[in-house]
Amino acid sequence: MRLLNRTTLNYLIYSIVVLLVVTPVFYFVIDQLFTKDVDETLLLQKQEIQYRFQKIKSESELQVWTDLDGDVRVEPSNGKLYPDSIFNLVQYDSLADEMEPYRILSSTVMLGIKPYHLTARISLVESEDLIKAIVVTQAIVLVALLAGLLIINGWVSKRIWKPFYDTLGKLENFEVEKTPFLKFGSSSIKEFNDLNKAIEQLADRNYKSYLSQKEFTENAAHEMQTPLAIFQSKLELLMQTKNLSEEQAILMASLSEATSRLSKLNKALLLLSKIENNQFTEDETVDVTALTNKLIDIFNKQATTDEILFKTTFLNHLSISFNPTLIDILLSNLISNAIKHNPGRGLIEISISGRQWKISNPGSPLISPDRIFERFQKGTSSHASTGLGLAIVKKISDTNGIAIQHEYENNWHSFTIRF
Amino acid sequence: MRILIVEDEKQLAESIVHYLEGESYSCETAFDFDRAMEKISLYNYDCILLDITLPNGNGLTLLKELKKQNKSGGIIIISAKNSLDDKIAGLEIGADDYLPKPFHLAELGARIKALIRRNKFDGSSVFALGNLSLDVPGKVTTIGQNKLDLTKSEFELLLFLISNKNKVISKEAIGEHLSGDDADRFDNYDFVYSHIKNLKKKMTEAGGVDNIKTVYGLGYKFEV
Repeated sequence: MRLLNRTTLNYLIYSIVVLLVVTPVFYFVIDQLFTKDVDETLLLQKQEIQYRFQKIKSESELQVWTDLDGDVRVEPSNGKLYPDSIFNLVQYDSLADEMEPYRILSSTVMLGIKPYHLTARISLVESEDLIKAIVVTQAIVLVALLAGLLIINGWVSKRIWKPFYDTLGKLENFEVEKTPFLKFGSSSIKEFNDLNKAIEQLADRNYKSYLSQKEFTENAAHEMQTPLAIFQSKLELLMQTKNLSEEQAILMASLSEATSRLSKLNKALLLLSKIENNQFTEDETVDVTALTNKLIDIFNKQATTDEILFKTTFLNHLSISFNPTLIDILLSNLISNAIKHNPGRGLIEISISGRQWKISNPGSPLISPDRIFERFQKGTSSHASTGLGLAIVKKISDTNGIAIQHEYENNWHSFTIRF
Repeated sequence: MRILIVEDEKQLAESIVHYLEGESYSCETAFDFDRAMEKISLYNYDCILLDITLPNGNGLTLLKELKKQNKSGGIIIISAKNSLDDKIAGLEIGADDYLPKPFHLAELGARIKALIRRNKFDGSSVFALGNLSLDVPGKVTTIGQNKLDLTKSEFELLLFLISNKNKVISKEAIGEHLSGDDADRFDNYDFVYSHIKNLKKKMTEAGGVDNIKTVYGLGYKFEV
């Protein structure tokens, strides 16, 4: 949920609750006020009648008087005393010719010493209409106020939060290798300016540490070449010493193998940093089908010793525009990987269909498949590999915008590249 | 044969001298730019091993100077940089070969032999060792009167062993030599064993002496 919707939703829920609660309460309060007012009028009327009664001399005079006012009736109470009571009653209105609600006062007035039953009434039609009108008007005003508030709030928020969404958009596209520096426009809001400044500094630090890490790998690998060369040369001189015993020879064999691995690891690290430094830029048209066949030829040298067979299915001819060195390394590393992780005497299947290149080999499942492309993640077996082959593959894919995918199904590993 | 080794790492330079001295070479060393400049101006060498990064200067400058003075000897660049640009620049200026560090001394030995052979005999040399002879450009091997039917790899292997005769060569040095530019693709050099086996078989079948000795698990040696 967007921030804007979140705050608006809270406003909306609150406003609806207030509207629903306030409207009946408002109606009730106004109704009460009106009733009180009507009751007071009725009681006042009674006092007035009582006062006027002093001037009435006879019962016939009383009859004339009550006939004049349809809303006041005075009848002999036959000695009964009615206490003051006010109530609502629906009665016939002779003028409107229909039943209408009335507020009625029932009481006793004295003519001399004789008690009379007084009923005075006030029509509630008008007051009810008034109350309804007031409540409806009030509700409309509230709704209009609410709608206006929401619209203004939405509009203002959108404008206020715009720098924030701009920043967010830039951060989403941020890649330390490609766009090292983040630059934001200035906003009139202090918090956003602070945020942008903090992010700019963070990105800057990020880029610097990325650079120094990159340089470190490169320099370390370079600096290692010379001592490695000395070590290797001294080892070769040691091999030439006279009367070499079997024990010594076997020890040297291990040293020689380890040196060779170290040297390869170093070269792989250098290659990785070269790819990161975008030192392979020139693209050419590369015949992937022919390259695959060439690589299979080269690897057969190693594969036949391990009793591994290649099976190719080329549905079409595939040519792409790519850096020739990189595509060579990319496919070569994938084939080498398939040989390495083949349980032996196995098959390696390579297929081309459309713009898709796929290599599959049987093998045991991985312990952590999601880390397969990370550096120095060496599956289950302890091969004399550098542990950088697939990291280089991934780096080439990433820097050249091609998709590579690893799958494991029915005890077969497969890597698919979409050019 | 006079060889000059221009290399600032004394340990490495000493190793090279030590390895090459068994052959009929006379080796000299220069550890910095100025000393190297002085030597190349004063003397002629059959082969110069040239490091690119030197104290007080660049090996490529020395290379240019050598070309300017029209010296006849072959030049092999030995560099820790292993950058394609350096390699191309070096070869364009006129170096004959480029060997990135770290390298096997056996590889260096073979390259020096090949270079001197090319320069001395215009590439038409025939390598003879006892009754064994190798026509390098023609890739023909004969033992006595018998022609050996060797594959390309087997021929390269034999030439490499002979170039480093009487030296123990590790399995890795042979594997890397035979793989050439593809060396980095392979994780093991187990294929060396089968090549050696086939070569030995073909040589004994042709009536030759089996000069190739296996040195335990370490490597092989062509004994003369």
